[in-house]
Amino acid sequence: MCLFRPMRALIYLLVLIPLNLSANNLKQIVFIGDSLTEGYGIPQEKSFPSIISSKFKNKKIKVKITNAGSSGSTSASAPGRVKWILKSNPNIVFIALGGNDGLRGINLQATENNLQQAITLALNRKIKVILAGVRIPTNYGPKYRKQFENIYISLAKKNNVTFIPYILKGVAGIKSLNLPDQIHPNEKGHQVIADNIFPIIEKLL
Amino acid sequence: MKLLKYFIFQLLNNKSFTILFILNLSFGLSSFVTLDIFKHSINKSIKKRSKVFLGADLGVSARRAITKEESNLISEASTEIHSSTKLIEVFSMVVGPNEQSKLVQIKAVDNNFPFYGQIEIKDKNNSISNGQIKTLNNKKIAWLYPELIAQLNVRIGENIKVGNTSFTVQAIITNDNAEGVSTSMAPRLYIGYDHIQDTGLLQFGSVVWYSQLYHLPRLNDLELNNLKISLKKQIPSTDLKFYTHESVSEQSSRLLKYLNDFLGLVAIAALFLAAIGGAFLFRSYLNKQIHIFGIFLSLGMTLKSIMLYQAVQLLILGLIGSSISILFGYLLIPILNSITADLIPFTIIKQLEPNTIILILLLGCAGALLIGLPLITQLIGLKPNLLFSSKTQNNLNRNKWFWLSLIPGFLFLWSLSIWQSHSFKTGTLFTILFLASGLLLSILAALFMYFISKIKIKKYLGLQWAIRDISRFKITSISIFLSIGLGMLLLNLIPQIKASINYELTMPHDSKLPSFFIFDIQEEQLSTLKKISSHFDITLQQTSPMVRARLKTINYQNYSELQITESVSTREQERQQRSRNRGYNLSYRLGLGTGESLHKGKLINSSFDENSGKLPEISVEKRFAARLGIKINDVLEFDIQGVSIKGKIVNIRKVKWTTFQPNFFIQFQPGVLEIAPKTYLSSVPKISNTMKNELQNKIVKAIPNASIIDVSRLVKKLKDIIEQMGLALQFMTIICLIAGFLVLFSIANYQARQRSSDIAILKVLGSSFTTIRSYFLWMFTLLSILSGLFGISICFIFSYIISKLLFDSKWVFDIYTPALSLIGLLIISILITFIAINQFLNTKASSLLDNE
Amino acid sequence: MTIQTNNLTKVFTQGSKKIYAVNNINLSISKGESIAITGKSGSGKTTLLSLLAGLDSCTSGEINILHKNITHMNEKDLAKFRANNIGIIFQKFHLLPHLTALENVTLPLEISNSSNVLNKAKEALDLVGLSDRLGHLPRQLSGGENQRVAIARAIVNKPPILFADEPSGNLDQETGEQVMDLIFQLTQSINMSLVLVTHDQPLAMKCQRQVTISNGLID
Repeated sequence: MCLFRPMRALIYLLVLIPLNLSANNLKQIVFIGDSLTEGYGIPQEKSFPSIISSKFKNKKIKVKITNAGSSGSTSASAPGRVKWILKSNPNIVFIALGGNDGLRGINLQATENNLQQAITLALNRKIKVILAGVRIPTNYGPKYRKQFENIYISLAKKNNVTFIPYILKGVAGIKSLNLPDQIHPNEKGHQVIADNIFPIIEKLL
Repeated sequence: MKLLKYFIFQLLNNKSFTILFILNLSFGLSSFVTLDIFKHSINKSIKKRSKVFLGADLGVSARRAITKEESNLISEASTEIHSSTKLIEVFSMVVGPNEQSKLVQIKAVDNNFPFYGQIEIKDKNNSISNGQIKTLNNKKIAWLYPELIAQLNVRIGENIKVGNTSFTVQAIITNDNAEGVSTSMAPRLYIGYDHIQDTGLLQFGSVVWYSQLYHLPRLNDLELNNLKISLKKQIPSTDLKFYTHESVSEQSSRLLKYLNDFLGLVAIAALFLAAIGGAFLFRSYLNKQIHIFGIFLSLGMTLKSIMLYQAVQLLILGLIGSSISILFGYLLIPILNSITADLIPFTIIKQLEPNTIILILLLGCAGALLIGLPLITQLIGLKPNLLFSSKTQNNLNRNKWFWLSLIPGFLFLWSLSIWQSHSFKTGTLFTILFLASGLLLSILAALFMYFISKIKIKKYLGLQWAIRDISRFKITSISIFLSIGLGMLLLNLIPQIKASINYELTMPHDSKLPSFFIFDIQEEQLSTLKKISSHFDITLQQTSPMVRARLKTINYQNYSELQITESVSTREQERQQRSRNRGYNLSYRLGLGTGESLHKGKLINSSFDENSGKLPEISVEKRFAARLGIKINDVLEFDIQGVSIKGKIVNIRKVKWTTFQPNFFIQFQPGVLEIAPKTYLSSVPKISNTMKNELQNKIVKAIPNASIIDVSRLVKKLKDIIEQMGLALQFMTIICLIAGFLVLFSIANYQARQRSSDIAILKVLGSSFTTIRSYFLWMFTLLSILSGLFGISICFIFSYIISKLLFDSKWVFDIYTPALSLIGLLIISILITFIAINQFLNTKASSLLDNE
Repeated sequence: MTIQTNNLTKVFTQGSKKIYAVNNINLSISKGESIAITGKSGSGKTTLLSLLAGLDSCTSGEINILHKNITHMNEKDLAKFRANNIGIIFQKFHLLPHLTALENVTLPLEISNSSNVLNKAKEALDLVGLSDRLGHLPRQLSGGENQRVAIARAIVNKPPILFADEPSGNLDQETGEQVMDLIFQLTQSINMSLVLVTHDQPLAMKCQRQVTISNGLID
């Protein structure tokens, strides 16, 4: 019985998916990320994927944006999640993962491998990939920070994908753009992120 | 007042009443004193512990440096601030001598830290001492948590690199009392506050906790809390977090609340018991004194002054009773202090609180007076002509004053209950339940007497008389019935509630307690993890899938538009509340997990059948359901990374947190979420420290993304508190039991004495001793066992309501105490009746020929 | 002889002082005889009565009742003896307050395990003229009626001896006389011996014999 259970669940979900992602001709962008993408501590409609969605709406461009941000997730979840969203045939996958790996001091090689797997999965399906670079706070020490930053640079180069070197550019460390925890951007911070990355996404689309 | 001496003579002349009344009162009050000593002691100990936990009384933290102005504002806010200390906490990758790096929580402390507790260290000579923070600030040295020795591959005396700066490892921390606010995801390292700047870790882009802790030894919790609130108002920066030692250890303050509520109930129960005993004794006494009052009246004394003197008598008795119990308290403290260092897990206070003394005196005098008042009013209408009456017994009359005079006593008990239980709800509920129980017992008593008057027994003379007389002495029978019934109720109530609380507090066996949690295990890594753990011969506990989802709608209504019933106290919180992004972790499973119980609804028994045409089933945790205002049959819709899933709530679960296992607010029916992106979490049971390090290293190596949270220190701390509470509960329950039995003893004894003249008559008429004995034994045993049984039955209802409403805990049927107390009651009533009857059987029947 | 005492003595000690409440009394009472024991307050007449009725034990001497030596009987045997052979009437009635007249009278019958208890008790109450008061509690009856219930209770077992301790002491004169007449009438009709303790001289005169006690001695 246990073997069949996932199968049945699959059937159930497959039935559901077309209902949700009904228009097949509609362009679709999926954001895979952690708490940053999910919009931790702010209303969901103020998270940067939502702002980008409304930017497209303002420009009368029909795009379906899916926010698959999941607080606390690490790069290890990336391959599994890409597989999950592939079912809905998106046009672009935006990957912004690894921050939690860095904060927890995880072996950097593992982070790189995970992200590589996820990118490969998407590219194999002819889906465009945007890789967002993440950095960790200064207090983690200069050496570790540098090593961490390099992961994204080398991944972008190796896979020749669209690369945003630092997703929190102009946001991190600025008190007025962050929640009191000084880790997560506030609503203004998300606006800055959206403003920064919208042109890149629009161009790719 | 000239006549007072006659009333004192009257008391001296009724020695058995006077002694029993004082004993009864002082015993009730003594148990109150004892409870008070315990309460203060426990409060103090737990408070001290939570102060040690924080290392201070009050703290303020921010993810930025606290400004001079803010610092000044805080210092000016209270003149009670003795001193303050600064500390900085930051995560960083620390590098060992062999270039091995490890994430570490760095805690930089200044010389004043901590105000409570200490940091115990072991130096290179393996000698253990209390660490002197001064040495940390003098030189660039560091103290490490033991696990870092292996993880950084470093030895004492070698250097490690923190940021840009080298620190010499001087000692290993063997015991860190000041665990502090944050549950750390990394082991800790202490350095001096003066050296943290040198590391270069505190610069733009750093995430750092800056804290200032304050020492305010003279403020109590309420004052501290008020200070915290006023500081929040004065310094409205949203990024500044104020907290007291209490808010830090939330778990233990919840425990404290449990304990305090319970202690309050024990104290009330002890007093109610004493009140019942006292009322019973005084009633019998007054009945006996009516003749004397008649004489006083005939000599020209007014009824008013007789009643006044009765009140004075009660005051005297109350004063003596409360003085005895205060004396008892003074004797008890040194005794407890000397013998119980090992038995009682907390330090006993050094002397009675002045408040306690005043309170006991007040309770004794006012209590005695209020108990007696309704009885004294029954003297109204007393005429001296009763002396001419040939009647051998004069019954007191109940009039409207009687009912009116019950009100102050009732108000007194009510306010006492509220005050002692620190809650209007608890106190009121207790009083109402108590009164309702009394009413119910009276009805049951009346029914019982009606029933028994219909029984005809021919054969056994003793039993035949007993049955007849129970219904003849209606008032006496009902008052015995009430006294014993309520006595048994209170006596059993405390252990019964204790059983329920104990159930909440019981922890799984040590081997089942978690030592650390592992998060973020990917599905394909699960087998690796299992392989590693089986290599160590460890069974993983509660391995659960975890699916991140966002709550979209409740009953097809947009969640964000719904009013959320969570209590929000400030505008700031309200804003945060509204903007929460509704992300929840879902899991799925059949049935219940360890430490869970079904609160409402039906269990999820089978996997989801997509052909059923029904929605998948959901189980939610009770507190969570209350917070969201959701109930059974509500439909929740979640968004799982772009896919929408609906489900219907079929049950509400209760989770016993003392299992310390990770749990989920929302559990889905299996067969729905299996293929959604998910991670797993698991917990590792308690294992030895060396094994823990090895296992941790193995897991980190094989599953680098897994995050491991070591909870063993936290669990151990909570476990200690819980165990100590359990012992305290035990001790106080025993005290209450002793008090209860004393009341029963005095009731039974006094009642037997009251019937002495009847014994003499039966004896003169030639009744055999066996018959007289069996008559009284039957009468008392029947009454006490039946009232005891009724009392216990009502106690079950009473305790059920209290457990459910006040402690929100599962009601546990405890059969031992009721059975034991019933046996105890049987033995006491038989023994006392036997002793008392024999005493009168052996006095000469010729006493009836008296010529008084 | 129904009652026979030999040198009956009862001594109370008060501190170092010995008080002879009953001093060397030799008394015999025959079947059906009525005897009055008179004397002032504190003369020892009540003590003598309680010794004779087996309610108290003597210091020395002996008592024989119905040819049985009760001097050294234990409490248990005395009680049984009383149940079958002795009826007592008290000045203060000493009825059980929670029992009806009928039940109070039934008590001795139940104790001595008689048969036909109810009829006998009703008969006795009839004899004292209270057949219409069977179900009343003592507090619902007058003093005279209470004493009549007590008389009924004392004679219901038809004991050979009846002891009465100032039976009219708590009653008004008229009622007292009625009660006394009833006692004399009943004892004579059943041929009971009557020992009456009283300080009322005219009443004592009604007995066949009169013994006056002072300072524990028969005058």
